Amino acid sequence: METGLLDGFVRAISPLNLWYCFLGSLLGTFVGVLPALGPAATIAILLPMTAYLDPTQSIIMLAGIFYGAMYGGSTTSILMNIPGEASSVPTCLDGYQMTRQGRAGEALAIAAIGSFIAGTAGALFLSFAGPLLAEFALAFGSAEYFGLMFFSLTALFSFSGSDLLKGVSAGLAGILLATVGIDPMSGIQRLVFGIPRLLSGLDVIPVLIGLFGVAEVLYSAEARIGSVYEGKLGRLIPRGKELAKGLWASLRGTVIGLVTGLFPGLLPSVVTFIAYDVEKRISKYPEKFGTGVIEGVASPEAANNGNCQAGFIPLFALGIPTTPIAAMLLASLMIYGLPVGPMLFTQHGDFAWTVVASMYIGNVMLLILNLPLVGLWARLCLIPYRILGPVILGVVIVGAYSIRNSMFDVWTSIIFGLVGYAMKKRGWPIAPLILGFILGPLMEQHFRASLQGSGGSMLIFVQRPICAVFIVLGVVLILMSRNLWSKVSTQQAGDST
Amino acid sequence: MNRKGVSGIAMTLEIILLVMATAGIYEGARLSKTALLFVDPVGPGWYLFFMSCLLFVCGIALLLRRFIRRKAAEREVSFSLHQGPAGRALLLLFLYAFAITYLGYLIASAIFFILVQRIFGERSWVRCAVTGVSITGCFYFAFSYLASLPLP
Repeated sequence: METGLLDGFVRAISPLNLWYCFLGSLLGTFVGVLPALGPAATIAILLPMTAYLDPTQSIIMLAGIFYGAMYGGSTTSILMNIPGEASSVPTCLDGYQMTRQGRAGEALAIAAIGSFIAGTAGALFLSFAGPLLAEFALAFGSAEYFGLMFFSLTALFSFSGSDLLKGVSAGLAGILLATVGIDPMSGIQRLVFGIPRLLSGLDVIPVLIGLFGVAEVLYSAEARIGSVYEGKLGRLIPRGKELAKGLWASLRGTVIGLVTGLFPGLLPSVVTFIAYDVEKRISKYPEKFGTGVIEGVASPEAANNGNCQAGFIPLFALGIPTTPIAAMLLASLMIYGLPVGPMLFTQHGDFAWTVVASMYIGNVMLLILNLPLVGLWARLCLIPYRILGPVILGVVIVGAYSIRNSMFDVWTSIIFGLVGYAMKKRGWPIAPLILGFILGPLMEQHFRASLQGSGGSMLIFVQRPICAVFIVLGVVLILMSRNLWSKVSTQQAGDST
Repeated sequence: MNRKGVSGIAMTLEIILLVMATAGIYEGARLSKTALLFVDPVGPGWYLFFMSCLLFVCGIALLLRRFIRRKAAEREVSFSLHQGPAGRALLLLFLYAFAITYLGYLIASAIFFILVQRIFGERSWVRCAVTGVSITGCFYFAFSYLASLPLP
């Protein structure tokens, strides 16, 4: 396997290929920076540009676009508190706070460095462990996935901040909102109430950009801020202890991303929430998360990248795309008549390793391109808000519309902007609502599929050992949650005064 | 704003939650009767019903907590959306979304960008106009021609 990767590099590296990779990274970053345009949309927009190149050049340019788009999404999360996609939400929590403290450069730099670390580890992981681990991932059935979703949902407690009841309520509200539309298993309408527009349900992107983007602009308008940050920008690259903390968090996020990337159907958005939650739980100062902690940026970013990297294992070994982006890459490769499907590693190993090498080159190119540009991106936060605010609103409107060419999504983002603003004013945490919105449908789908398989017996969740382990771990984590006990004790102390 | 006003506005989110939960309970109960018709033993209603019940309990707990801890509620920051720039910006957003349908993207956007800058603190109408039209033009060019994205 390791020689396969080296051969891949030999085929991929040439001055022309490197130029195409650079171009792809540049374009991907600039388009990915646009709020509401996540990596999948960015790849879709820029894909036609690769049509005139030979297959190797196409792949390497696509790799550049992919990494540029992912980094561009992180940029808006950090600088403007607008997640490009659901997986960028945890980055917003601390990244934007770092920007408001004049540390935008550090946040952007650690996002790029963390992504690079995850990409490097992912390429090595692929080389040595790939196809073997793909088989393990296939052992996961619906019951195991339900257990994993339940375990992931325990992150609600971590994201609830200072008020557990509000956080859990927001999470449950998110679960409910996700049920609007047609039930995918039965085709029955739920919570549609005769409104045709609701048949297709609420898309996560307008909800996201409303809750984060529009709400933040409204909040900033009320605060009458001159710009996101007013003052001299701090260091552009983290150093010393901050860098060390960021690097360790990146490594932890990488491990989480690589392990979870093997499982088809585990969305990157869930993975980044898990990474953030883990980082917060093991931290010596969990109460500082959400106030501008570098680990809160490094870990989710690395996990996101690691998840995408590890997703190549089931993609190439079994022909199964694990994420929407992997599916798009698969489709892109098929457009160029390139062989994809199961046994790609074994029957067309040279091609598979060329793709893996190209992805790694794209990862390196991202670092080379964007670390010097960190200063430029960071200066965006100095733009007067009377210009930046309207631009953000305008891009949000276009971004929301572009998802399904529907004004309904525009209205959704505006209404959720109002909801998000009200939640911020009332001290309600927003992240649990998003987590519930993303996890709720997955949990339901696997719960019902499990019971389908067991003939209605709930014992399946304890009879399947992996599922049982996840559920027990989830319960333990809930009981161990510092939030739970500190709020109980605070309540008791408050009652006694 | 008096204390009753503050508490009333503060309860809005809790009321919204209870309305959502009630709708979910009703819908879930209605759909759960059809479970037997489907291959999966749960059907489309039970999960919705269960989560809605949990949300209802949380909503009631939030309301009860608010009444029990009245002193904390009275200290909360008043939420007077209609009086501030946030309210005006939100109203302008709603009008913008309406205007797109009837005036088209270019005209509606130009008007929106000009007016929203005033809300964000720009004092000069000339600068608002120049910047607003420029932003509209850039958006149109960038999204329509460069990115080939459909505009509203």
